[in-house]
Amino acid sequence: MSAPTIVEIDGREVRLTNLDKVLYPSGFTKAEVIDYHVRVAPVAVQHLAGRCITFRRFPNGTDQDSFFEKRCNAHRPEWVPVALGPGDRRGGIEYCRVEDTATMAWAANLAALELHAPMALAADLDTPRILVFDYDPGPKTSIVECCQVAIATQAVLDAVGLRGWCKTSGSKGLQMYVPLNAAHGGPTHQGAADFALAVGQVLERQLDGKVTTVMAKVERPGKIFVDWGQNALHKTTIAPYSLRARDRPTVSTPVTWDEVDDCAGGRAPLVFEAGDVLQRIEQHGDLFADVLVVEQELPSPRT
Amino acid sequence: MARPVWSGTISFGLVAIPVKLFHAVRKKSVSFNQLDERNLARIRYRKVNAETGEEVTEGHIVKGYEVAKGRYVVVDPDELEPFMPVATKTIDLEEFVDLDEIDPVYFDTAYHLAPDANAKPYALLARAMESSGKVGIGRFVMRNKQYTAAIRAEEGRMVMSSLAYADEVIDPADIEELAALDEVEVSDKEVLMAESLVASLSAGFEPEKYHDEYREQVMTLIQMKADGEEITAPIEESEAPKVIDIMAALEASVAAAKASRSHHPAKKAAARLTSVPDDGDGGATPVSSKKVAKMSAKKAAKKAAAKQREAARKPAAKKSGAQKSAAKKSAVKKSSAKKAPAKKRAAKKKAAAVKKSA
Repeated sequence: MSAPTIVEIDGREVRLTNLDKVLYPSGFTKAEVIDYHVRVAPVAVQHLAGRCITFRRFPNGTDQDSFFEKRCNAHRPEWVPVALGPGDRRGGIEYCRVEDTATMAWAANLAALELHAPMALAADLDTPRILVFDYDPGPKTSIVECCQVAIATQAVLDAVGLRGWCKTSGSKGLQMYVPLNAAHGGPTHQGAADFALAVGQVLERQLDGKVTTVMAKVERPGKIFVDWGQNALHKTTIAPYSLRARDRPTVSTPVTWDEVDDCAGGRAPLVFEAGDVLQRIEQHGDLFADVLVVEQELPSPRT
Repeated sequence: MARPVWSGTISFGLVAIPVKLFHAVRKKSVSFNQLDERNLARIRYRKVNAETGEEVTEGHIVKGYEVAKGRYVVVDPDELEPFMPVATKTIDLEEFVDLDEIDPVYFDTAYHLAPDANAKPYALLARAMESSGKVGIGRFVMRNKQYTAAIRAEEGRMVMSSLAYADEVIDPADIEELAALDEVEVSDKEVLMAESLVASLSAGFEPEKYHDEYREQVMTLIQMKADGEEITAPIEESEAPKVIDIMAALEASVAAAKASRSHHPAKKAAARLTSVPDDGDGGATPVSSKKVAKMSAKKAAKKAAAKQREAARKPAAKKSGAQKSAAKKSAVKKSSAKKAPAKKRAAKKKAAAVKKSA
């Protein structure tokens, strides 16, 4: 009903509409989503930049229908850049690239609450920059068990000299990012997925009955599903600092290993909402900054 | 004195009323001339051949219609002659309709009609139309172009508007953005609120209230410069700029959302958790709130960089699973205790609703 508000961000005009629309059952409005996007942009965009971003849009709020938007909106402003990414049988898709505050505000205005990013950069789609372990808690488990499995994963990775960084999924789970950032060469998506599966299978044996690497839902009650398949070319994972579509504006939040330890011991549930995340950034800076720069190599498979 | 743009007769039935046409609206935009800054001489256009760059004389210039990209059909003025509307010098009124039957988008240019020679037939027609409340629809030709016109009478005078042709009017269905309206759902309460807002802003239409402020300011500037006055201060900005600062735009909405939550005790937690850093400025002015946003962004970036350096200094792999000292964790523990209820609620509700990324 209200007229659009046109704001200027870094010299770009962004059209904002329905600012007072409530997007979360908790009462969090679109204005607050835009506000969060604008404030978190200084640290969030570096994790999105250069990647083919999939928007998950909730035009009528998180308790209503949503849709994934891979193809960058045809009505995008001309300053929103696109990149060719994995497509369907008919060929590649032009995805949005999210590289500045104005684009973050524009995405927020589309109610693109969730920003999903692939592990590879658009410039080299075949080479993942990151290997991801996605810990998905099955029924009767929670992020507490996810944190326990993440700690066990890091112990396995220690043996081959790899470091991982954790973030909450912002939903129920946890993800560990193992930066690769190969200057040249680097593993393929298949190589990364194979390695993640191998580590997952080690964990299955070590933590008997607590972990599964099998996708089937029936396998999951009481277990943490280590989703190694997230390393595939066409897969995306919720981006660091992205909001999630829950009752409340929770965020996929980078956490410290101390916090993971506390979570594993049942002392910290690791739930962070938009306002908390902004405060954390003030205090800690970008806990995921290293994920963008640390170069690591996967061990070559034994022959 | 205003000069007529056309003269002829209104004809309907057997009646012919001589009239003159005057513009009812005079456009007032500021027009500038292009000059060479070196000697302030006027810039002149030359017609040149786009391929050779050579100047083309009038005799070589013909009319071409582009039927396909780069393909032209040349049309000779003689060939157009037979289709030229005959300058009949009459406005033929064909029918009379009610004014509100005409969608205002059809109205194009407005003219005053004045009687020519004998005023009586004009006065009679004007009075008849005014008392019946009807508008005369007719056709006329002016400068080789045929127009449809609507003549209405008010206060004993006649005013004519040229009308757009039906096939010139754009169908709203062709505007993709309008389709979104079909999906909009509004509650009766919302409609009521909107209506009361409209009612509270309702007023009589006073066109004098609205000015082209840009033109007035530019003309003031030009007048001052012409008078040799030194211009030092920039012309004051218009009161409601179209483009506004992002933080200023959001401030009110964010504050309203928070306030509405804090009125509902059950939702208080949300307000607390979503509170954003504030420098205590209150953010009354857009300029200062913009600065705040910029500063906090810079601060965050600086801190991020510092953290990065710090992390780089730390020994690489962290011994996982090793328990940390309890003292170090007090801060984390405190915040976890605070948020425990929220988390439980979130986990209970739509536990399986949000699936991981596709």
